[in-house]
Amino acid sequence: MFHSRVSLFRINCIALCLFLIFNIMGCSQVKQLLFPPPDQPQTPQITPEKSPEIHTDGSISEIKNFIYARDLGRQIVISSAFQAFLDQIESKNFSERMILARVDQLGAGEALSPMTSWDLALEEGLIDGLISKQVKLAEKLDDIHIRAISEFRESLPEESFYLHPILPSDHSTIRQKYDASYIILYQLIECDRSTLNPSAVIYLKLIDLRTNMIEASILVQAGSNIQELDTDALNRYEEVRQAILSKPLPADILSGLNQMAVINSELLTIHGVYKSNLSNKSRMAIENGLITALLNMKQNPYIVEKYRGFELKFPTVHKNILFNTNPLIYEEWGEFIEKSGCKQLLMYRHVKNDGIYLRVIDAQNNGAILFSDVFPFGKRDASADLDLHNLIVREFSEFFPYYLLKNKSIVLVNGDQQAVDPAKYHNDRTRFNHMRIALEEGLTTSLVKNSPEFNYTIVEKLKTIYLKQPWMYKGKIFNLNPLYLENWSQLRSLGYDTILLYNNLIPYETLTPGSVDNKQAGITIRLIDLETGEITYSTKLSTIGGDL
Amino acid sequence: MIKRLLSVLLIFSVTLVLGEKSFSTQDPPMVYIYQFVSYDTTLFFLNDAPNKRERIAVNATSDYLTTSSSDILIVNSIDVRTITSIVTSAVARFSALKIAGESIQRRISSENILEMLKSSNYPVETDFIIIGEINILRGNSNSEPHYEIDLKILDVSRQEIINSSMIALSKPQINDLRNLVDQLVEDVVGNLISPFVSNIFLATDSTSTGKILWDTCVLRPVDDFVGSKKIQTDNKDYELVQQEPVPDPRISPALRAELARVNFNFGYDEIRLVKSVFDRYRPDTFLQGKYLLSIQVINNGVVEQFMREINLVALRPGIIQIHLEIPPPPVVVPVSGNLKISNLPIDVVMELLKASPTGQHQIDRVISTAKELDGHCENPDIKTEYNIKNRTVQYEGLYEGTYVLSTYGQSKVFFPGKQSVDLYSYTDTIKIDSAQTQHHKTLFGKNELGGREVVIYFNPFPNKESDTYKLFIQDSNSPIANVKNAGELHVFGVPTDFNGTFRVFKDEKHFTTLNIPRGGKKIYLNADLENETLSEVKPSDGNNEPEPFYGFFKRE
Repeated sequence: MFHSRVSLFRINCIALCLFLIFNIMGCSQVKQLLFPPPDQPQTPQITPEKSPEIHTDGSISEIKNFIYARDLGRQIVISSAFQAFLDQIESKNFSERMILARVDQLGAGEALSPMTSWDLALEEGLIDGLISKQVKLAEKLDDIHIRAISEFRESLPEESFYLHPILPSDHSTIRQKYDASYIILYQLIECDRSTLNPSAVIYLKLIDLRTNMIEASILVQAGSNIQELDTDALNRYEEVRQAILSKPLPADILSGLNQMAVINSELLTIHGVYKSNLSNKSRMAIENGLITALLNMKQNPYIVEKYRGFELKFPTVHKNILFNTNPLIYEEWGEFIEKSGCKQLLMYRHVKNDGIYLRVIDAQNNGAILFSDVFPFGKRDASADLDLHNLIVREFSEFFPYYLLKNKSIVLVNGDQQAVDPAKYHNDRTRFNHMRIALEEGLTTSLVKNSPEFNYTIVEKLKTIYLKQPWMYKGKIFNLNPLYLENWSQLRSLGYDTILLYNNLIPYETLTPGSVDNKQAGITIRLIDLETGEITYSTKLSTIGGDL
Repeated sequence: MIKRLLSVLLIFSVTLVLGEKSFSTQDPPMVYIYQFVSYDTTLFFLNDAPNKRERIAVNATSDYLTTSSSDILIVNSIDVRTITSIVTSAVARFSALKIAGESIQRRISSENILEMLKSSNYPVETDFIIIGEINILRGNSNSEPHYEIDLKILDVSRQEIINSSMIALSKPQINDLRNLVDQLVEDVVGNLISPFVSNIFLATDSTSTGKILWDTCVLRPVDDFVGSKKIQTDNKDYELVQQEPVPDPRISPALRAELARVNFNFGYDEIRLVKSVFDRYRPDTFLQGKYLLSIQVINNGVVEQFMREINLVALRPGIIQIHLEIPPPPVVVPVSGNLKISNLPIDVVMELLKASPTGQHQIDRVISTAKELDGHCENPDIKTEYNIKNRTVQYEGLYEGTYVLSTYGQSKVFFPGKQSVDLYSYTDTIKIDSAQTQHHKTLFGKNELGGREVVIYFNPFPNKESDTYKLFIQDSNSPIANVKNAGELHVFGVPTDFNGTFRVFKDEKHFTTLNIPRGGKKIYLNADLENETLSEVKPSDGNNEPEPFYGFFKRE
């Protein structure tokens, strides 16, 4: 009897000790104490700071900071702004589990900053909020990796901007091991980590791992000190989003989009590489705003999360090929479809403080350009870039005989004055600026807008079509077509019926930025029927002089 | 007192002959030797009256006589036929002279010599007449009676005695008679024919060293004069001759000048003087005229006859050059075999190379396209047949050795500025080591290639029409593509397990190495040839060791 009482006392003591330990250290720490985790992968290292500790002296500032950050995360989720994101989720009526992953600027090849307890608290708050919204989340173990930075920055050929940051091979792990079909990627754009005024701007993107589609996209800001944060990225996001939403894509275009990738084209067709002076954060925000707006236009997901198949042409290749050829490296659109899993391609060119140019390409239809236009921002500087585009569209639409293009596939060819001095043209090519792009974009927009009426197609140039080298002009008659071709059938084999050969007369790259001359246009145009080799039309477009 | 026992009456006939101006083998000097005469058969010399001569009749044919008086010395005369015979023999030892048969016939009147020895058409063809007489002289009281033999030579054409000599000998010296006659004739006749003879030399060079059978050397005049007419000799008339080496220091100036004159093209190693093997006076002299020399030589173990004709000119050394043509290398019938190559894929280059210690040299290069098999075999000994229908190449007459069959893709322009090449690479070795063997190689088809596509962009685009970029695999020295006027090259059929390098060369200073990792997907590479490469082209480093390239298809 005595022994039984002693044993009972011992059991009670052990239970009491365990109770105290659990209360003091928390379950997770006990678990780690009892079951130390296996070694962590080497790359990349996310080094969380120590969890806030309870100090017996009564100092609870760090605990407060943690708690408030956690509350901030919860606020984000339960905010009205986030409700739109949830609405997109709820609209799918799915019940699959999700993985929440913080990625920040990983998609641009930028390593994560060291995480703190504040970051942990924020994510806990997000989790809390999501669970309260009946979202099923899977606890992450140790087998979801982020991609190596070298895949973004040092690859040859270079990858296009902003790729999916999670190792694609781990998608199947997530689906199988975690039984999760979705992953929520979130970027902490800006934040105030103070205890008194915790604030944050977060971008979230939901991706269906089964289809690799972006299901939802939203930027949420929470906290009382938002106004004090750096709002550049936020503004880029908003101006793009609003510009696009203010001028939705045509419904007939939208209806045909089902697997579309979005890539930033910048001035790749001139430089071959990205040369933006914006931060990665802002550049990503531009694309995020674009995606958010695009998703808002259509009920069903149609934008592909890009993670592979977006390799760019080598920069030096652009020197020798037709100007403004698509920067993707592929020879055929079928190859693009195969490699990327996309059927349409939206290329955007952000013009700082002015607007954004969009071009939608149907990869399944040999690169037919479905849409081309600019979207000016609400507050804009009215730069020459968009103005030139609009000028070309306006003027060109007034007089151009689009009926000549009926049932044709048209490719734009920049000829300039190669016949006069081909070496100079080749040298100048690397110094071309955005105005050259804007000019051809204006021509494209004008032609695409009128294409439904006259049933023709403007084709995006993808395959490398070489220009004549300077020595190829020697000993031959004057004013040869600049393309290195033996016969027109070679070009027809690529699916082209007509060349629109334009010669730009204004060397924009030599003008002073801001000069009004940048808004002038002076081009001559020839239409060449590739079936006969005949010049079917010739005209000029000039704001400088002449009878226009 | 001189006792003249016998007197010899010289009788000679004068014959006018209009002969050749010079003697040669076609018209040799003809000598008529009159039989010597002696009118006393025996001479008696009185001891006390050596100058008194009394003639008594004795039998001239008896060898000796006996007398009653001791004062009387009986000396037997020499038989004139003997002397004539000795003289004839001596003259006959001059091969350059012809002795009229008639003179022999008259001496040997009992036999009809002319039935065998053709008539010399005496006296028409006679050039010289030799006459002689024998006298017996008593000397003074202290001396023995002795014989005197007078010898005179008459030049018929000039109608004068051109030489007169004598021999005096006592009876005890009678045994020396022949030697004295021989010496006399040699001197006299030798001087007579000297203007019409010369020597024959054999000049040999290195081509005949050790190849001449000197003891087989024979010589004959091409023409001869028999009876009264010129005849052609034949091989029956050869005379064996011997050759006496003439050391270089002994070569006379005349001979040296003649050697230079004939310009012995090959340079002489040895000079030999030709001499008759017969016992003749001056056996190394030959009457001017044409001679044919024949000698046996050994060439590569086979005895062959070397014949050469010489036109010997009097008083000028005649030189017969013995230059043996170097026989060509023995004709060895080489071992040869045939090779048939089947299933030549389209757009490949097939090279057949012959291996040698110094490397490999190309036998043929065939560019195989859909329309033709364009071969370039320039060896006429090899028979080639290109069959486009069956896509086969047949070689007949490939010599013994090891051949390397190398086949690789041929780059082609598929769009202006773009070239492609199938990385079809096949190497094989063929050994031809037995005659008339038929080898057959069947190439792999391109559909067996598999592999992936590698696109290579060139920077810069070739600046000139002649600029050629060459693409090599690994450390191979054979380019798989020569690219002109193109900004990019599409290489098809790169094995998915290939982990190595491509090397692209613009020139010696501009080249680059492209790493090809394992993988099955199409890849794009950039060959930057704009900047000068300072370092050696090195294979890729890292964990993946490059693999040596021996061709993707290879048979041992």
